[in-house]
Amino acid sequence: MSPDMKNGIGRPVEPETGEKPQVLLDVQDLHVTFGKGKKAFEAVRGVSFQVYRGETFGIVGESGSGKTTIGRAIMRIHPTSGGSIYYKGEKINGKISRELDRQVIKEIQMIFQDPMASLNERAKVDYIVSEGLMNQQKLSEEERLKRVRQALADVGLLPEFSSRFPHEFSGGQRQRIGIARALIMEPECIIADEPISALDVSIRAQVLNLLANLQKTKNITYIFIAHDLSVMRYFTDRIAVVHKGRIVELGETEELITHAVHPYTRALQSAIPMPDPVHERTKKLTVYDPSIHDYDVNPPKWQEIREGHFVLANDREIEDGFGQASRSV
Amino acid sequence: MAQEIILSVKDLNVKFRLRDQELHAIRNVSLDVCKGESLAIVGESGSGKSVFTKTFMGLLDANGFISSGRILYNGQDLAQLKKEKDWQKIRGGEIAMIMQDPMTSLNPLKSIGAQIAEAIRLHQEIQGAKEVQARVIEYLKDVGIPEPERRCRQFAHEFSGGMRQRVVIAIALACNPKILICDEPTTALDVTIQAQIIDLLKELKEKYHLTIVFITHDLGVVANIADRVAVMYAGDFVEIGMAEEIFYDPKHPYTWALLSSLPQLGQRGEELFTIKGTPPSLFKKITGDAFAPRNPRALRIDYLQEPPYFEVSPTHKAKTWLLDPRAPKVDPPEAIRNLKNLEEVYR
Repeated sequence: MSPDMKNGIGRPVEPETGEKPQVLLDVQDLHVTFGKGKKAFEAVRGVSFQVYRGETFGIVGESGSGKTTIGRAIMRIHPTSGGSIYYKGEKINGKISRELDRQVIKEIQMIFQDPMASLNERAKVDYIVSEGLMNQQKLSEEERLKRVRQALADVGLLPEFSSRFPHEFSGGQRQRIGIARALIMEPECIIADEPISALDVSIRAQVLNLLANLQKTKNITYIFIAHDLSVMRYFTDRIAVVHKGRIVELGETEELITHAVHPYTRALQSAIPMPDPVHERTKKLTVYDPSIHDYDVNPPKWQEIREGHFVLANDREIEDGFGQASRSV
Repeated sequence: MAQEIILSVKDLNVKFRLRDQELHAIRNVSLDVCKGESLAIVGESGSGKSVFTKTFMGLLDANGFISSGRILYNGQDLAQLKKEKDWQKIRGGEIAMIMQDPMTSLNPLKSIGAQIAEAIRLHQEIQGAKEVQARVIEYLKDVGIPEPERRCRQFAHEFSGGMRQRVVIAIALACNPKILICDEPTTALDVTIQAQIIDLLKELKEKYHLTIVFITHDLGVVANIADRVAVMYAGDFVEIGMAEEIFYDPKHPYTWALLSSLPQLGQRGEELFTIKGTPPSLFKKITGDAFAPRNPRALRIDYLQEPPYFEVSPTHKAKTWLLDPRAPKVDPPEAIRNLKNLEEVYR
């Protein structure tokens, strides 16, 4: 267990000035439903969280947990069926004005998982990167090319790449093009949906470093979606653990990883592959079994167990630490 | 090691013909696979790890060929096999393979049970419909699929990614192979599922006395399953050793680099280690150590002369001039010196 947390428990990372963190994005009781009537499937079932300006907020969960759907709902790709999303205090889900729509499109950008599938194979990099700009503002050709060159330079690509097609690039380079496409809009917030899952380990490190540097120089807020807690631990300030459309645990990264309470978080944690053969071979894998919860009589509540560390549990589970002696609390 | 050798590769060279050029994908590689071990082959994409194992099954693309070398299996030289008929005796029954993407390795039009039954009929002496069905159920149980009687009638699209990979493993098992090649079997899966599949493979290895060759780009995954690790770079093994030796006492700068770039080792707020540059073009002849241009601490000789294998222990050898007695002492990077106590950070 790490000693005292550098930033204090429960507060997002603050800028050195000591200002109070500013809420950039506020998601309240979000519901997303696919299909209608009997076939309706609720992919996101009442999710609430806040993202502070300048932080990296992680959403972790397995495939099908709804983590991507949350990101896409914020992007206004999926319509919401309940709850509200506030961006800089203004509601951005449901019907909104044209100006606000434009502002949201410009200021919240997305990076996708598969760099092979997310780039238009028949368009040149030049067009791919600047497509978003064309809808936003009238730019002279010269100005547009300047912005493309700048965006490519920001992600470490050469300006002459702009006349090439996506198939001429490696996976890591394609992901950089995807990042350049987001950057050119000068966004305040980037939703990165598993941006490194499809990449080689050595390329992963490069893309993570790039994202971290961009955050430093441009003060971008990230919502980082992934299934892998080890990457999360390195990259995020706070983590929300999503299971079956609900957030089951939320807290500051170090706090959450060293004091994980919910059995699902613990299962995720035990699955982290460590480069240590002796330990790995003897490791007992924790598999999460949702049937251990007895929620018929005593439904779970969203409770704060330590400052800034929330968990979805009923009172009995909090008392006995989900049926097992809690490790460090 | 006094272990029995099940497959022995000697001085293997594989080339591809591409637009009047020759790409030297596997460069003079020798490797013994011991019976009952699990051997992991680790390297970046394009290092040749998949090509290497494809030669064991005669699955090279049409423009690829073995230019020299031998692959000895059961007294037979697989490098000499030409006819599809001869290969069919090896494929499945002797050596089976699990591919990365379970979506594409299953037939979407046939039920899961029928696909496993096909493998049983082809490779085992069981023929009666009832016996075959009983075996199908048994294999599905072995790979941890609940309600096998019902699930065996279902189709691939009715299974989740992890369950599909279990079905693929069941089909491979039904061939009754001696060697199971797993080509990035968990890359397309979630971490939790990945850990479960690796546990399953370990279990099945004991039950069916399999020899496992596990291919991956992620050294983190390997620690759990591998007895031995071979690190491949630009079509050659740069370091081979027992898992403990590779993780706790790596010798080759490329192994250092692979280990250091793992996000598990990253400290929040600090840059992750990255390997600079790109792998060398295999169209050109490589002189010296193939990794030298990307190695910030390469020696002069690394550019001039290819290093031989230096033996660190009877089971551990590495191809780097750093192990030469005349070489200056270069320590591995700080971050990977203490992998033994790594879990304390997390727990």
